[in-house]
Parts: sequence; structure tokens; C-alpha cells
Amino acid sequence: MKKIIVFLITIVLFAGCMNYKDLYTLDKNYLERRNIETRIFDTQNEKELLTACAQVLQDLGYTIKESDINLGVITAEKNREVGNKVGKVAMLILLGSDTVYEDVQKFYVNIVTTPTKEKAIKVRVLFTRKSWDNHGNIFSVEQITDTKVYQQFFEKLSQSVFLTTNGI
Amino acid sequence: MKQFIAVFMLFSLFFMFFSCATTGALDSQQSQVQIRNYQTKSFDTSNKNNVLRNVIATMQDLGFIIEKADETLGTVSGYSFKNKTNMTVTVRQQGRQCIVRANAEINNNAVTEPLAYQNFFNALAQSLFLTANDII
Repeated sequence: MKKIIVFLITIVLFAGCMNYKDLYTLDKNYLERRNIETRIFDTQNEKELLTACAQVLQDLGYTIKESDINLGVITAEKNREVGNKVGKVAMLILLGSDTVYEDVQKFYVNIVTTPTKEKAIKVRVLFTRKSWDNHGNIFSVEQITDTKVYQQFFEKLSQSVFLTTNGI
Repeated sequence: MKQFIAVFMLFSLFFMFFSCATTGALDSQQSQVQIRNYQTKSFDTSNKNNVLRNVIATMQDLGFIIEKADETLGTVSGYSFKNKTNMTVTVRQQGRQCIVRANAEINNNAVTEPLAYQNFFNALAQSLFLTANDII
């Protein structure tokens, strides 16, 4: 009994301790990531570029949650279902109601624009994904690092810049 | 001994349930000066907008999602899924310097370790350097 109590007290005492040495430190690949997430646009009109960014986010079905034109920031998110309902129902019938599967997901996107000294504007975009299982528990949280996603986004943004500039 | 343990447990329970409930809103383990000391760092630039933009870039480097940004007030707030951290950074201009202050919480606890803030300010200094030299 005594041992259990000592053990419990030890757990309580050490539960709050964590390693702060590596907290908020940059990882080795951060410059490489910055490169993938950044594209330079040959324009000086930051407002128009941000408008084109907002347009492309709407194209992709995002809801804008925060924006500040003076800092060149847009934050948006969208909720989507993972997989289709038929598959999920089939899984429940075959494997039972206790089956855990990825049910819904939320995508977060951050866009930041920064004017450069060469009279151009850098656009940096960051995608994050969070998902929940069918019981409402967090299933996964990940920063999207797939280079293709960022390439495709910038292609869409380039197109959006063209369309927005031409009032389409 | 058993009696002592029972009393101790009872006291712990009492402490857990009643001590923090009413005073929580103003709770702080350290003095205001102590907290400000490690949460604040000044940078030799008067360009508040540039510092704010670099705060955002640094937070992005560290995996934060920017939730709020306000240039007038000079605040940026974000959340990191990686560290389960809520962080607010404020930037104010004072003469030829910009004073940056960060405060963070992890898993419902305030981050009171100066080293964590030092790491953040080091990352910010690196970002300011990169921007100043137009490297990336």
C-alpha cells in the first residue's frame, strides 16, 4: 500500500516536468521547408496579391478566419469528411460498432506575404491537417509537407493572380 | 503512518479542489518583473511592421498556425499542434528599438522556463537576419 502511495506521489511530482531544451527550436530542415512553402511574385501590389490569395482559398472551399492586410496575413480552414459514407457503414457492419476509423478532417491554411528588396512579393503558405475518429477523438495531426501540394497551390495562385488582375 | 497518509491525501484533495478555483484568474508563481525579464527581448530596429512579419515567419517555421494578427496593436497569436502550445507575441516600438514579448502555455500550463523563450527569440533573431539580407 505504502509503495503504491509513494509511486503515485512520484508520478504527480514528475508529471509536470518536461524538457524545455528543445522547445521552440528550429529543426534542421526549416530553410528547406521555407523554400518549398514560398514563391516570389513579380508584383508590388500586396493588396491585390492578398485578394488573389483570398480568391484561391475560396476556390478551394476554405472559410477565411483571420486576415490583416498590413501584415499580409490570411488564415483559413475547411472541414471535410474522410472517405465515403457507404464505405464507413460497410466497415461498421463487417467489423462491429467498436471499430475506430478516421471520420472527419480539418485543413488549416496560413498565407503570409512579404515585400522583398527586389520590388517583388514573397508568398508563403502552410497547410496543416487535423482529423478525428468516429468516436470524436483526435486521430491525427500533421503539417502537410508534400511538395506537390505546395506546387499545385502556387499554380492555382498564379492563375488566380491573372484572373483577379483581369477582373474575372 | 496510515493516519498520516490519510490526512495527507485528504489535505491534497482539499488543496486540489478548493485552492485554485477562485484565485485562478490572477494566479502567477513569479513576480511581474521576473516574468517580463525572460519573456521580453529588444531588437535594434525601429521597423515594427518588419519585426511583426518576422514573428509570423518564425512562428510558421516552428509549426504554429497563425490565429490572430493585428498590426495596430502589434500582436500575433498562434497555436502549435506539434507542441500543443498557445502563444501570443507582442511587438512595441520604443525609440530605435522594438521590444518583443512572448508568452506561451502548454497543456493548460504556463511556460515559465526562460530557456523556451530564449529558443524562440534565437529563432526570431535568425529570421530577422535572413530577411535583412534577403536570403529567403
